[in-house]
Amino acid sequence: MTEPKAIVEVHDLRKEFRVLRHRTGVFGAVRGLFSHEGRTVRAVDDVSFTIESGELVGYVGANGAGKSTTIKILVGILRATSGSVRVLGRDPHRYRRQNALRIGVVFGQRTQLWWDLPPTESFQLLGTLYRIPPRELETRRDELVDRLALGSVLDVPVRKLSLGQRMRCELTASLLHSPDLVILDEPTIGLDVVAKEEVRAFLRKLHADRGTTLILTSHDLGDIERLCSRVLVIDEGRLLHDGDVESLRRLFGHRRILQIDLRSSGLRDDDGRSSDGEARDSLHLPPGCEVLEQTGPRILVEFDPDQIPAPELIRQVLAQREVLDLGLQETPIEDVVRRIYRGDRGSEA
Amino acid sequence: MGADLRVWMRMYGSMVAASVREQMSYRGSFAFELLGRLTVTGLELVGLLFLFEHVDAIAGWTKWEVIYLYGMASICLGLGEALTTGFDAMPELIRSGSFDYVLVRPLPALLFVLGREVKLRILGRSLQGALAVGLCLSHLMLLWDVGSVLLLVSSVICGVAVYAGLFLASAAQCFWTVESTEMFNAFTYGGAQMTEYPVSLYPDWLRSIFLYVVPVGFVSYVPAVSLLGKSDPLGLTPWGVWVTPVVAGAFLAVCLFFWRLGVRRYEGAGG
Repeated sequence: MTEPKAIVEVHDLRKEFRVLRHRTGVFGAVRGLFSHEGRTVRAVDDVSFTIESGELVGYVGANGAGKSTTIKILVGILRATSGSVRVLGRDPHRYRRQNALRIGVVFGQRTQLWWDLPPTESFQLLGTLYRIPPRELETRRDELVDRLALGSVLDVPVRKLSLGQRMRCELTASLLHSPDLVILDEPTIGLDVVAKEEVRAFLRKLHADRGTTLILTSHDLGDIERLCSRVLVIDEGRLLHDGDVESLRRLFGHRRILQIDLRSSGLRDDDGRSSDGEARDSLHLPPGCEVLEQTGPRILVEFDPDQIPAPELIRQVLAQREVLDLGLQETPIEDVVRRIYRGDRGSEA
Repeated sequence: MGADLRVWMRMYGSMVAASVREQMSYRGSFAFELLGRLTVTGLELVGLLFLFEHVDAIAGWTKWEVIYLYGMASICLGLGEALTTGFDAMPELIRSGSFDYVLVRPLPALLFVLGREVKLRILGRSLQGALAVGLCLSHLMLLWDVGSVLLLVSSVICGVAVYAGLFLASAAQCFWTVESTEMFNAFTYGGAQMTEYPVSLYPDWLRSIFLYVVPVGFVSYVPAVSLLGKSDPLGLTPWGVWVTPVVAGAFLAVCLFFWRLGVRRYEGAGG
C-alpha cells in the first residue's frame, strides 16, 4: 500500500450545532426528544489545512474556539456539516473503526482507563482490543513505562493516581498500538509545571525518535512554543493563522504581562480622586504598553519586551507609584488571539 | 462484514474474560456476593411457597407451574442484567465525556461498553431461578422430547433478549437525559415480578402492555403454556410459540435502533 504523504487533509470544513433549549425534569427530557427548536451555532467555519507525515502541529485557541470540535471530526466522532476531511487517506467518520487502529488519541479532561483497576490491567485490555501480539505489547508497554517513569504506579488503582500520573498513563494507553498519528486534546490541562514539562519532554522525544505525526491542542502557549514546529490558531471557528511558531511571534510580538499591585493609600491626586480607583488615568506608561484590566489596586499591563524591557517598565512604574508587589506573566492565548484578530480587522479596513 | 464480526466478538470476548478474571481475583468476596444474591432472591421463592399453603392454584396454575414461571423470569432477568452491567457506566461516560474514548475504539461502541464489565455475581439470580425450574420440572414429571428441550432453551434466549433490550433502551436514554430514569425499571424488575404469575391473571390493559408493548409477558407466558400443556384463555397458543422468537427479535431490534439513534445524536452534538 502506498502511503499518502498528507496524513490529514481538511478543506472548507464546517461544523454547525443545533443548540436546543434546555428543559428540566422527565417531561422536559421526553419533550426534548421530539422538539427541534433552538439556534444554530457554527463551531468550525470553513477551515482548511493539510498536515504532512512527521509534522508536529499545535492547534491553539481559547476555550470554545472550535479546537475540540475539529479534533473530534478528525478522529471521526463527529460528522462534518460540510467540507471534506481525509485522515490517513480516508473519511474519518465512515472509517472510524479502521482509522482507530492507526490513531492514538488523548482527551485531556477525560479518562480511558478503567477507574477501579490498576493501569497495567487497562493496558492489557487495550492490548487485546488492538490485537497487539503479547510479546510486542510487553516490549512497547515497558518502553513507555520506562520513559514516562510509571514503574511505581502500575499496580495502583487509577482512581488513586494524581492528575500528572494519570495523564502519563493515558499517554501510554494511547500509544500502545504504535499509532501513525497521535492526536492530543489538551494533554497538559490542569498539570503543574513539573508534570507539564515531563509530558512535553516525552512528546518531543516521541516525535524525534519515531517521527510520529503529532497534533496537539492547547490553550497554553508554553506547550506550543516548546514543542511545535507549526501552529494553527483558531478563533470562533475560523482559522486565523497557519505557520511556524516564529512567524506567529514575529507578527504579533512576544508580549508579556506585568501585574502591579498598588498600595491603596487613599492618597488623592490633583483632581481629588482616589488614587487607587483612578490609577490608570494618572499612571503614565511608555509606548508599547497597554492596560489590560484594573480591579481595585491591581493593574495588568501588557507590554512588548522588544520595545520596552521589563526592568525599564518596572523602573518607570516605581518612579510614579508606591507599589506593594509586582509579577510577570506570559501572555495568555486569549490575548494573542485577540491581538491577531485585531490585526486581521485592521488590515481589512 | 462476517470477518469484522468475528474480530469484534474476539475483542469483546477477551474484554469479558478480563472482567471475569478481575472478579475472580477476589474469590472470597465474589462467592459471598453470589450467595447474598441467591439468598435475597431465594426469599421471594419462599414467599411464593407460603402463598400456596393458602391457595391451590392461581388462575388455574398450580404451585409448581407458577414456580416454573417464577424461575424462568429469574433466569432471564439475571442473564439479561449480567450481560448488560457495562451499561451501569453510561451516565458517567456521558457526563464526563469519556464516551468520546468509546467512539475511537476499533470495535462498535455497544460491544465496547458491554465488554467493559460483566458482573457475574448478578448471575446469583439466574442460578436460583435455574434451581426453581429444575425442581419444578422434576416434580411435574413432564415427558421430555427434543421439541420441549428446544422450547425451553429458546424460551430462555427470548427472555434474555427482551430484558437485555430493556437495559439497552435504558442505557440509550442516557444520550438524551444523561441519567437513566426509573421508567425502565418498571419494565425490567417490575416485568419480572409480573411474569412470575400467569399474565391471564391481570386486567386487560396491563396484560396488553406486557404482552404487546414490552413483551416480557409474551416471551414467558406463551412458551410456558405450551411446555406445561396448560389451557390458554387468551388464545395465544399454539401459533404464539412460533412467533415468540420473532417478537423477542423485533423488540431487541427496536431497542438497538434506539441506541443507534442515541449514538448518532452524540456524534452530531458538540461539547
